[in-house]
Parts: sequence; structure tokens; C-alpha cells
Amino acid sequence: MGLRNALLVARRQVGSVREDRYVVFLLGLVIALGVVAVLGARHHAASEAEQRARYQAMVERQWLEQPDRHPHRVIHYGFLVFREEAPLAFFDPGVGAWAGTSLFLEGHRQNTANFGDARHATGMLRFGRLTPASVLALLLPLFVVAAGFASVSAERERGTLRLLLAQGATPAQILAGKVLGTGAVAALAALPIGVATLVIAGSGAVGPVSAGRMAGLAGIYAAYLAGWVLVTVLASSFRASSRSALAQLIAVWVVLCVAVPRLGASVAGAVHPLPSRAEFTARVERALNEVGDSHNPDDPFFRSLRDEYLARYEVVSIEELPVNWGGVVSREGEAVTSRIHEEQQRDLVEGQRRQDRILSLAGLLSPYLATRDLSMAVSGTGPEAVEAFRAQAEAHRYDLIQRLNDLHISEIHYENDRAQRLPREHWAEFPTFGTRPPPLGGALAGRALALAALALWILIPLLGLGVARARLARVGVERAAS
Amino acid sequence: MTARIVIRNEWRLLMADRPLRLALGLFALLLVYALANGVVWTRFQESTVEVAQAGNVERALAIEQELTDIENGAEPASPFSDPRLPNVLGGRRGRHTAVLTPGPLTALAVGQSDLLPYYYDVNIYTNESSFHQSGEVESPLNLMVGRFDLAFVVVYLLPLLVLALSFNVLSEEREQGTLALTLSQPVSARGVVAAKLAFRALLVVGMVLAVSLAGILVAGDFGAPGRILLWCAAVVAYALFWFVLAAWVNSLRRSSAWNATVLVGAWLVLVVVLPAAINIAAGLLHPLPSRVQMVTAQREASNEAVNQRSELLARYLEDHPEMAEGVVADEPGLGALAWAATDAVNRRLEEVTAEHDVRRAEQIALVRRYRFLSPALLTQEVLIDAAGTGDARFAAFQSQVRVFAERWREFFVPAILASEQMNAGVLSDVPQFRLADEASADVVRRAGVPLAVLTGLLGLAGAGAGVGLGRVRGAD
Repeated sequence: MGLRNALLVARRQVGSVREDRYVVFLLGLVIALGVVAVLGARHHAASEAEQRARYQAMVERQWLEQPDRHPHRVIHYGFLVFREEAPLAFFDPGVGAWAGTSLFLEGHRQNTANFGDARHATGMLRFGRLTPASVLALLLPLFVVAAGFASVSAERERGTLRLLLAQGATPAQILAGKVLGTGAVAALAALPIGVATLVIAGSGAVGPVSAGRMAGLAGIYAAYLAGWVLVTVLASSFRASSRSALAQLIAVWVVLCVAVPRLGASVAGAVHPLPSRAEFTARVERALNEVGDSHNPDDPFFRSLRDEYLARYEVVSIEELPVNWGGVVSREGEAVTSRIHEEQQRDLVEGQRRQDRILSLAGLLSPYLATRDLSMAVSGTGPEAVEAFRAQAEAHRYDLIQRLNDLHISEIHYENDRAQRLPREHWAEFPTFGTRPPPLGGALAGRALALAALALWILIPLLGLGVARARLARVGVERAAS
Repeated sequence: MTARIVIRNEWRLLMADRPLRLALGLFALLLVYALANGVVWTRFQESTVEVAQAGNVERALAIEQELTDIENGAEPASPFSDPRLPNVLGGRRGRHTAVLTPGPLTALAVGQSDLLPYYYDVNIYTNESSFHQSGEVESPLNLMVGRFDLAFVVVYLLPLLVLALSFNVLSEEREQGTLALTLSQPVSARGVVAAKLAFRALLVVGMVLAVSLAGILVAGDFGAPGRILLWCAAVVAYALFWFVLAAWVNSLRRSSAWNATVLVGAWLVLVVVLPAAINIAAGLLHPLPSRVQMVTAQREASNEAVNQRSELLARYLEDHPEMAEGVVADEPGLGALAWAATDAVNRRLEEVTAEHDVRRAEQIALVRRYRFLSPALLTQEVLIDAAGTGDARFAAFQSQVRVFAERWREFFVPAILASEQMNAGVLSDVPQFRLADEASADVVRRAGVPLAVLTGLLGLAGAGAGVGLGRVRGAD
């Protein structure tokens, strides 16, 4: 009986939305924007991925086609890697456009990734790009508001609310019905984007997408939109007029989706300022100068290393060592400089993470922020994916350089060092590079706050509806009576 | 006279409306916060620029000291960084940091200044790939979100306040039944709406301009009156656009609720949806040339060059006879050989980059046409251009650094080719970077187009509102 009443109210709500030409038009618009966004993003991602794969293959071929070379020459020749976008980047590109896409790996130093998309576009990009994720997170809530702001208040204004109550529907059933009806319309609007995303991801055209990630995205956006449905019905039941419910809901949207994200980012930047690039570079240089210069054989650090080697092999001069001393200096120097670079880099990333944490606190105020954060994490396009690429590329670089140094130590004689060459067959022995996106579990584990924010986003309006149930019949009546 | 009465009454009405009073107060707070945010960012940039400039002086002093010591018989600290070697003095050790001082109104609009580099280290190895190094070590998440600056408040939030103040400017009178009464006086609907909106516009625009001028005062830079005027003009035109749009919608004689829905819809479309859709459409219709391709081409260029050094030297000397004098014809030094390879790489890089840049410029020109569709895009462009944080100023800076790097090479390379040694005497002749900042007049000329289009949109909406209001009668 209770469920039947709720379903009747839900059907009534869907019906009234269907009769509203304005809302039907908006529904068409949202669906069209969503489909355009999915197809556009898919096209963009495919062409980028294709180019990246082509040029990565080219760089690998160039590596293999190197002539016979001295290993230290190869260290300076270096290697170029490109950041692969996660398969779901077409759905939510995350910070992809704002981070570097290519990284040059060479000896003695860590370069930073260059060529972010945004640097090559115009300032217009600041307005954001229409992506499937932004349609779901920014525009669909407005559609939900348009479809539901009048759900309860219009019944009250027309006087049909009393009729419903008189016919035996309880306030709880009416509210549940309104939520279900508005939710059904919202689901209808979200469905095409979901289906299109699922089809593209399922076709394997963008790379393997795990069912877990798809389910995660579905869950996040379902919860987020459900929260909007609840808030919309709540505002509609609390406000005496549809007009003031609409004004209030739009104000809520502006605050949550436009103002708080920027405010959060600016507070994060103010609370945990990052060094400038010049300062960062200077810090690295200072730290490097403290330990010594691997290119300077008279450096104290390397002098003690030499004495240690001479003692270990019981010889008196480096010429007599069974290993190539030049290679040893290069390897130990690389170990020291890499450690320093890595330490400084870790500090920097730690600073960025502290900023991100402030943003996730802001996520408690804005479910839009929390949703965006979770969506990026599940899609594998968040800041941690960029950092994972950097860390993996650095590990690859270090491995590459030290293998070359080992070849230098074992295969090249100290005497007449520079004139010797290693046969080119060696170049095929090196592993290739591939980006591995951070695992889903790890990405979500660090986002307990965002998950909690999303849970609150549903719980608080639910509690509100509990209060609204008790006053449903009274709102607007008191004012009319007084 | 009538206007004065209308304005006095409007003020009373406004102050009686608590939500509106709240909205106005909140808006004022956000303006001040945005300004503070911008000022902090400007200070950060200024201190970075200062550190960079101090670094130039410090390096020069240390080198001068060491050169003097060497002349007096001391040994260089390390054979690898002997300042007498031209490839050391002109190389990383003696590098000169070329800086772009923050734009005059950066505190008002951060614009592209958190994304694009505003300083480059220049030495003899500076080439096209140096220009692609990253900008600040900013978190990509913050870059994506963008700064909370005055430009953001003006472009995104100001229209909403304007709409909240004026969506029912006429419809409310009708709904309360006072319209007929008002229009029975010797005033036209046009006059009443104009007076009401003029009052509100004065209030809103006055707030924004007061905070803007306070920001300029804090930054202490009144040296760019052209830019300040441009900023004010864009704020006024954009705010008026929304007021006039509201008047037009009011003239359609629908209910206040209908007006509110349509106006908020217009805000959504013009400020949120259209720019985002334009960005995706631009990416599909006019994709920018591949950067990956450019990187790979750059790399290929270096490979070729290094494989054929001596050949390259011969070619280099053919191309640059003025450099050949110092080279001992039959036994070129190692420095000369290395330089020939470096130069060949640079030339090839320039070719590759020039080609890429031409294609990119064409695509961006196409993409930029779409900005005429949205007053928000137009306003953003004028605001950041006026502030000196737009794309154009950074591009101009980069091309000046390019020229400077060329001068730097011309100064040091002949000595490298001739294996000459430098001494303290040359230090005063080492090139210094002097920024030739764009003149206000250039900025005004460049921003004139979008500002004119914005004014045109304003005129269109104004004409619509004028005609519509002309038809309003008290008996409606």
C-alpha cells in the first residue's frame, strides 16, 4: 500500500515533467550535449593515443638503431617517453591537459615533463572543456533542479497537496514519490552518457577498462545525482513557492559548483604555498653542490670512493683496477644525484599533496569537488596518475642509466676509454617503457574524505526530508493564515 | 527629478530586501578576497623576479672575482668551470635570467601568468626546446581549477548579482499592481526601467571599480592609464550587457519567475555551456598540431647533427664567414666542432618549431573567432589583456628572449670557435636582457576588437530592450 502510493506520486511527477515543454527541451539539450561530449572526447583521445603510440615506437626504433657506441655517449643520448592517458581519460580527462606529456630521460639529471596541452591552447581553455564527466557533474544537477524544483511546491500552490493528503497518502509517501519521480527523470538524462561510455569502454577501442572502474564511476555519479534529487525535493517541500525554491537551488548550485572549487584551490595555495620553479631549481643545485660533482674527479666525495676501491682491490692506482674507474665514478655519481633529485621532488610532491588535502576538505562543503576528485581517481586521470608517470619514468631512467654505467664498468677498458665502442646488439637488451596507471584500490584508499563527503551529501538531505515530512502540510499554510 | 525620486525609492526598497542586502554584502566580500588573492600572487611573482635578477648580479660578481683572482695568479676553482672559457662564461655558469616583470594589473587578473613561464635562463645552449620547459611547479589540479581573482568574480559571479538585482525590475511592479499607477505619471516605461537599472548598475559597477582601483593603488602602479581604462571599460560594458539583457527580458511582459528562469538560462549558456562547448568543438574542428611530433622531430635533428660533426663545421663556417676568422683552418678546436653540432641542432629545431608554430598560430586564429559567440569569453580576453597577463604579452616576451639568446650566442661563439680565453674586461660588454614591454596603445588596439564586439552585443540587447519597453503600457 505504502509503496503503491509512492509509485503513484512518482508517476504523477514524471507526468507533470513530461507536460512541461521547457523541461523536455532541457532534457533534449542535456542529452545532446552529453552525447557530443562523449563522441568528441572519444575522438580526441583516440587521435592523441594513436600519435603517442606512433612516436613512442619511433623513439624506440631510434634507440635500437643506434650505431656501436660508448655507453656514456648513450647516457647523454637519452630516451624520450610519453605519458599514456588512462583508457577512461575520454570520459574524465582530469588534470591531463594541465600536466606535461613528454619526458626526456638522460644521465645526471631529472627533467620535468613538458608540453602540457594547456600551454599550447589559448586562455579560453580556462572555461573548461565539455567532457562527459563535466556534463554529468555540472550540467545534470541543473537539469535535476529544473525537473524537480516545483515537485512539491507546485502541488501546494495548486492546492493538490491537500487533496493527495486527504486521499490517504502520507507525507512520507508523497516525498518518496517525488524523489523517485525526479530521480527517474534524472536517470533518463544520464542514461545516454552512461550507455555511450559503456559501449566505448566495452569495445576496447580505448584500451582495457576494468568492470570495477566502470562500476565505481556509475556508483559515484549515481550517488552525486541522487543527492541533487534529494536536495531539490527538499527545497521544494520547504519553500512556500516554486519560485523561491528555484532561486535557492540555483544559488546552491552556483556556490557548490562554481565558487567553492575556486575558493578551495586558492585557500589551498595560500595555506601551503609551493616554491617557484627558480627556487626549486636553486634548492636542487645547492643540495647537489653539497655532495660534490661527479664530473670533477678531484671532488672529496669521489676521492674517498677511489681510496676505498684501491683498498678493496689491493692496488695502488686506478689504472690497475680490474673494473673501469670512469664507469664507477659515473655510477656512484648517478646514485648520489638521483637520490638528491628524488628527495627534492618528494618534498615538492608532498607540498602539492598537502594542497590537494585542503581541496578534499573543501570537498566536504562541495559534493561537486568530492565527485570530481573521485571521478578522476577512478578514471585514473588525477594528480596521482601524473605523479605515478613521473615516478615510473624516473625509475626507468635510473635503471637505464645504471645499466649503461655497469656496461661501462665491465665492458670498457680504463685505458683509452673514450675511443672504445660497445656493439649495437647491446641496445636491444634494455627494457621498454610503459605507463602503469595507479591501481583503483590505492587511488580510492586515499580518498576516504571524498567518499565521506558523498555519503553526507545523501544523508543530510535525507535527514532534512525527515523534518520536512512532519511539516509538509503546514508549510505555506501558516503564512497564508497569518 | 523623476530619476531622483526613483533612485531614492529604489535605495529604500533594496535595503528593505534582506536576501538582496546579503547578496550585495557577500559580493563585496568576494571582491575583496579575490583582490587579496591576486595581490598575493603578484607579490609571489615579484619576489621570484627579484631573486632571479639578484642571481644575475651575484653570478656576475662571483665570476668577476674569480677572473680577477686568476689574473693575479690564482688557479681556477675547477677546470670544468674555468670562467676564462667562453663556453663556461656564456654557458650555464654565466647564464643570464631574462625575466618578464608581472603585468601592471596582475593583481586584478592572474590570467595565463600561472601557466606560462615568465623567466628563462639564457646561455649559449638556449634553443627552441628551452622554451618548452615547464612554467611554475604548480599542482596541475590548481592550474585546472584556476585562480579566484577579480576577473573570475567579474566574469562568472557579477552577472548573477546583476540578474538577482534586475530580473523583476518591471514584472514585479506589474505583479504588485503598481505598474499602472507608475505609468499614469508623466514617465515612460523606458524611463522608469532606465532609472531603476541605472541606480543598480551604479551600485554594482561602482563596487567592482572601487575594489579594482584599490587593487591598483595597493600595487602602486598608475603608470598604465590605457590599461586601467580598458579594464574599466570591459567591466562596465559586461555589467551593462547583463542589465540590458534583464531589461529586454522584462519588456517581454512575462512573470518574474519566467524572467528569472530565462535569465539564469542565458547565464548558463553564455558563461558555462558555450565556452566549454566551444573548447570541445575547436578541438575537434581545428586540432592543434601534434606536440609529440615536434618533440620527436627535435630529437631526430639532434641525432643527425651529432653524427656528422666535422662536416657540419665546414658547413657552419660557410654559412657564417664572419665567425671563421678565429678558427685555425686545418685544426679546429674541440669547442668549434662541438659548437658546429650544437648550431646545426639549433637550426633544425628552429625549422621544426617554426613550422609547428605557424600551424599552431593558424589554428588558434580559427579557434579565437568563436569567442565572439560569448560575451564572457570576450570580457575575459579584454580583462587579462588589460592586466598584462594575456597570451600575447607572454608570446612577445618569448620572442624577445629568442632575440636576446641570439645576441648572447653572437657574443660568445666567435671566442669558442677561436678557442680564445675571456677576461674580466669583457664582463661589462656581456649582453643584458632589457624587456621592451608592450605600450598601452598596442594593448588598447589589440583589445579594441573584442571590446568593440562586446559593445556591439550590448547595443543589440539595448535596442531590443528599447523597442520592447516602448510597447509596455500601464494597462498590461
